[in-house]
Formats: sequence, structure tokens, C-alpha cells
Amino acid sequence: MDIEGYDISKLTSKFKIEALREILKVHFVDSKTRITEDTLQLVAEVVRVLTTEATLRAGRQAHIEGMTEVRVSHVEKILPQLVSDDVMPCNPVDHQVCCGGNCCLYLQDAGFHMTND
Amino acid sequence: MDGLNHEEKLRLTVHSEVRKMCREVGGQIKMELDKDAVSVIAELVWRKMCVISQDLEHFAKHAKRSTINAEDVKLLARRNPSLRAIVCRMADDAVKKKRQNKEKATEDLS
Repeated sequence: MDIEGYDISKLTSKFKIEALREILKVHFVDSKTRITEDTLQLVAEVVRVLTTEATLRAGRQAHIEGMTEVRVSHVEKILPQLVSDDVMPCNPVDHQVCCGGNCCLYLQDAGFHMTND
Repeated sequence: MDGLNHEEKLRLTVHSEVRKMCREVGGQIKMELDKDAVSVIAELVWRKMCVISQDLEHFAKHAKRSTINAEDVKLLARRNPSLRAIVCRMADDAVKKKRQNKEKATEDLS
């Protein structure tokens, strides 16, 4: 598969739901906070998309540099765009044309907002 | 795994899940990820999960609920139209499926 035409529906790996529940629980402030299994499935998908996107972008960076092995330097280069909040939304027309709507490489609009640690 | 506290064990779980996923994606795009690259991505995912957790809790609390639901996850994805579309589609499919199962169960009873 091509990076640009990547189809996430072909990805079989999924995050373990119970592990996800434990991880979220650790960071809840209120002991009364709950999350249903259905909702966890949605969160798992968000995390899956993030992981895939990071891997694809790092892979693309490595490819641009003529390498077939993705290194830390490639990941570092793509991190700012990936986590940036100041992005233009992807033009839906272009997005559809370039990848049939299934592509997970949201080139212009990552917006995985992170707080500054 | 003795001597590791709960959080450390969870971090390791994230790392191993991320590694599995990176390997699969890597295989599909014919690239290999070196282990340090995977570690950085795993750290990113861990930190993102911490933020997600707190955000979801706050959104639910803001809506005067103690149970986080699909609306909270949609709100989480508000800044990324493509991601929001994925979440909405998945949430709608889940609702449809539940409705179909309920209808089938009522049919079976009658």
C-alpha cells in the first residue's frame, strides 16, 4: 500500500478496550466518572487514527529523505504539524479526490491538540 | 513486572499496543520503524491519552453527567473535521446496530 492512498480499513490492529479503560481511569479526577464500552470503542478509534497518522507521516518523511527505515528524527520532524491546533481544515473536495475518502493522512488538518507539558 | 507501579505497567501496555500497530502499518507501507521511533510515538500516544481522559471527564461534567458518552468524544474531535466525521460515523453505526438488534429481539418475541 502507498502512504498517500493508505486505507485504514485494512488495519487489523485495535487497542485493547479494557487496557484503554484502565488508562483513562488513572487520569480521572472524580471517582464517580464512568465510560461505557461503546464510548471506549470510539476513543479506541481516535487513538488508532492518531497512531496510524503519526506512523504514516513519519514514514512519508523517511521516504522523502530516501530511507526505508523510520528513525526518531523523522518522527520529530512531523510532530509539530501533527499536534498543532492551528491548522486549516482539509478541503473536503481535495480529500475525496486524493484518497477516496478512506485515507487517514489528513495532510492539512491534524489538530491533535496537546497541552504544553 | 514486579516493582513496577500501576502507571508504569499501563505505559508498557501502551508501548506494546503501539508497537504492534506501527509494525502493521509499517508492513503495509513497506517501511520499518526503528525501536526508538516507536518509543517516541508510544510516548505521544500515552500523553494524548492523558489529555483525552481529562477532556472527556470535563465535557461530561460540564453536561452534568458522570458517564462519558459519544457526544463527549465528538466534542473531543471538534477541531479536526475528518476525525470528527470518523467518530460521528462510528457512533451512528453503533446506534443503528443497537436499534436493529432491539427490533430483531422484539420480532423474535412476537
